[in-house]
Amino acid sequence: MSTPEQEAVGRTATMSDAMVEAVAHEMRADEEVFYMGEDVADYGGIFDSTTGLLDEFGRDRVMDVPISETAYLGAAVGAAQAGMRPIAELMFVDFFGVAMDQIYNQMAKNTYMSGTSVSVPMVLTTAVGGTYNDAAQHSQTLYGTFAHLPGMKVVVPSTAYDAKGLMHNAIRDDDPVVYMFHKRLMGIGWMPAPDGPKTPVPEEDYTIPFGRADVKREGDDVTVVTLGLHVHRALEAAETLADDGIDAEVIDLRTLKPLDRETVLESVRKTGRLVVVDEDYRSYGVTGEIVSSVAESDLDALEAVERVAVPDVPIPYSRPMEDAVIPGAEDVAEAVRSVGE
Amino acid sequence: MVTARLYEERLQKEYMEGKRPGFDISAGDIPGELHLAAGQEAAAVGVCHHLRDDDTVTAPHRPHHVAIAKGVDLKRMTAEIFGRETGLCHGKGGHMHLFDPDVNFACSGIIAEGCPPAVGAGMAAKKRNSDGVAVAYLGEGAIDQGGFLESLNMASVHDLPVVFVIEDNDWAISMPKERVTRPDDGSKRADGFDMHGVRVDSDDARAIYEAGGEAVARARDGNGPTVLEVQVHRRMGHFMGDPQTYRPEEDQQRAEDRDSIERLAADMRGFGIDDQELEEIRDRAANRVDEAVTWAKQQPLPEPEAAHDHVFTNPPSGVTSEEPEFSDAGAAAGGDD
Amino acid sequence: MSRSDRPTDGSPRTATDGGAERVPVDSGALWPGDTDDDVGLLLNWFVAKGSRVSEGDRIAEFQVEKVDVDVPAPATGTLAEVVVDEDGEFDRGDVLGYVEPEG
Repeated sequence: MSTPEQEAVGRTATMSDAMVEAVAHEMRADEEVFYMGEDVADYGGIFDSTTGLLDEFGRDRVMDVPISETAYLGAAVGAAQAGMRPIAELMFVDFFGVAMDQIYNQMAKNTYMSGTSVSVPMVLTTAVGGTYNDAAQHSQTLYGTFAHLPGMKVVVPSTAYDAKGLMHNAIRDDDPVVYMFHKRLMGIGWMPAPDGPKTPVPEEDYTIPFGRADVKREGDDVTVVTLGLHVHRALEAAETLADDGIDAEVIDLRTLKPLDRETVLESVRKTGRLVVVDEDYRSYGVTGEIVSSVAESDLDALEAVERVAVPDVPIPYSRPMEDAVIPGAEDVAEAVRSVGE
Repeated sequence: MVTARLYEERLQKEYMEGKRPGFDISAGDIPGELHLAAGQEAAAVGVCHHLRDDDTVTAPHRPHHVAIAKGVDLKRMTAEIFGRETGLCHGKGGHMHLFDPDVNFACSGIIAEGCPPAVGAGMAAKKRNSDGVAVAYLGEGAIDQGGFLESLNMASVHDLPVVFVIEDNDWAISMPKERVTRPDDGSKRADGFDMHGVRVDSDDARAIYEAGGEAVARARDGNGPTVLEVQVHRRMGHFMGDPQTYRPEEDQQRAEDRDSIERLAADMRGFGIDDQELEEIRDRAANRVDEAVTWAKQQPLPEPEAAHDHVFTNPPSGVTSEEPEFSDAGAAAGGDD
Repeated sequence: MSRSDRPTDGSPRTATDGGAERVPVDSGALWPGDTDDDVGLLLNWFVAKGSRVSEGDRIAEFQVEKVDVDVPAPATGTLAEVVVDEDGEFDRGDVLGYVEPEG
């Protein structure tokens, strides 16, 4: 899945390595960048988001915070408005409930409400996703929730290479960025990742612009639009489909806000068939947005459409049920076949 | 207490099987996270023994010892942890989200989340003029969460029959209390809300039982809420799979040494109870645990389609499934004037 | 997750097979101190066979019980052979691969 330029780099890294590398680089470059969150110091982040940072930067800049999301996320807003560049981690995105006011009413709106007289240059990192039986309160992605509310940029990397570039861009951006990383893509020993996320990663820093989707696999027959873990499940499905002579184009959105509608539209104009795959709840979310975006821009281009998403139920604990609600590669393949008919 | 300890140790064993090689969290008979309470049994027993079935208890993500002390159906609880259809929640909730309405027990996974509902149960008891009591369990890390503080205030303002039991095991995952919380004595939070606060420093199950009894009696007699902080020790990691590399050896050793079960056993010997009786207690507990686990493993898994069930109590259309029909011409809605 | 310290003894050892002095990537030297477990799981290789490596660079990682261990290149040169693949189990002391040092 990597490009020839990426292959030339020579060393691969896990997604967590790549994220940490970007954070460390920015922290060296600017004293005002600091990381705060629960268990980010000695533990290195529950999902390996800050491994090794404490050793290099110390407790003043890699801060363990109390279990007080409203206070510390709000504090990040305040520090950002004072000109610092905090990276604040919400341990699981599912915990947003106890702090959403500071997130969507302060972090997301202060720039607008002040007529840009203040800005909020912070990054809100957060772990998302299921597939490991952590039940309803610890398995969500909530992509739609954060993309829906105005005022926040939202990024969702699916590979180590993308993760590093998006992190550099996020930290340097003067606007608030919600950086949503999927637990199963990080390369954590106790939650094995699929093959895809570990990619060649250049040693030097680089930025990937927001609002630029990435065609991870070119194809002529069906457009598959997705993000996060499901980029890899879609690529797996594409391999199976290729054996049956179906050539799927897989588009990794990479950012939800701003959304790259053009790349999606271009692809659907080529294939006529659209499958959107999302690990978030089906209704009122990413899949609906992509479909309607294409429909309102070029209704004639759209011959067939199918949405593959988590049904509108809380994520169940027991394995047979969780496997049924979180889409697998076969579900993607089935959807592609059905739009081909 | 012994039942709870043996239960946690057995679950640890069941959990780790099937996870190898390495440690894959979603493999095995009990997939996902598992937070065990070995070392914290006294806090559960010391308070719950004063409670009735109609008293409400809410607990956090480390709930098994509290559930056992509250009298939750152990077989169905175990089946739920193993994700079986006949578990307490039909496999929907798992170990962090156990609900047993027969004994008014519930636990949940967001920190301090159980405090407001306990306040609500206390409120319901008061409105109905019953002498029911509500108990909210939380860890010492949770006293920094806004929801806890709001709950204290409400309980105090409305003089509610609620006991907040803080299980202080010194660690919020990898963060030691002194790094993230002031003051050191969490029961002092009660002072800020004009409530009773008391801290039990020892691992003495009898001292905890006494303090628990006082707090529950205070609530039951209509004399208001209490914050009861109890020092306990986390013998295992935060969750199964936690390498605990952040935790100094001495600290882990201290947890082993300050075993409230051993201490209670020593006390009991002092009262003339002989080793054979203690053995019998352990044997009964071991049998009970074994029975529950064996039963659970025989239970069927849910069908995949069952994932769509139980979202709502009433069918989506609410109580009614038909539009109303008004036959009179003078009816308010739908008339064609 | 923890990372074990790099070995302080940086001297490469030589293997004698067919005359080439390849340097083994030795799992035993990196094994975490406080575990009874003698089985490891190879999590990731970060370079491919034939890649150039510098002594001390992290080239792989493995897991023992729940502890992650970084594997540094024992010498500067080329990764000549991968003995234990990703997801492979191995015993304490097994060789994970070989580095062909540059002459």
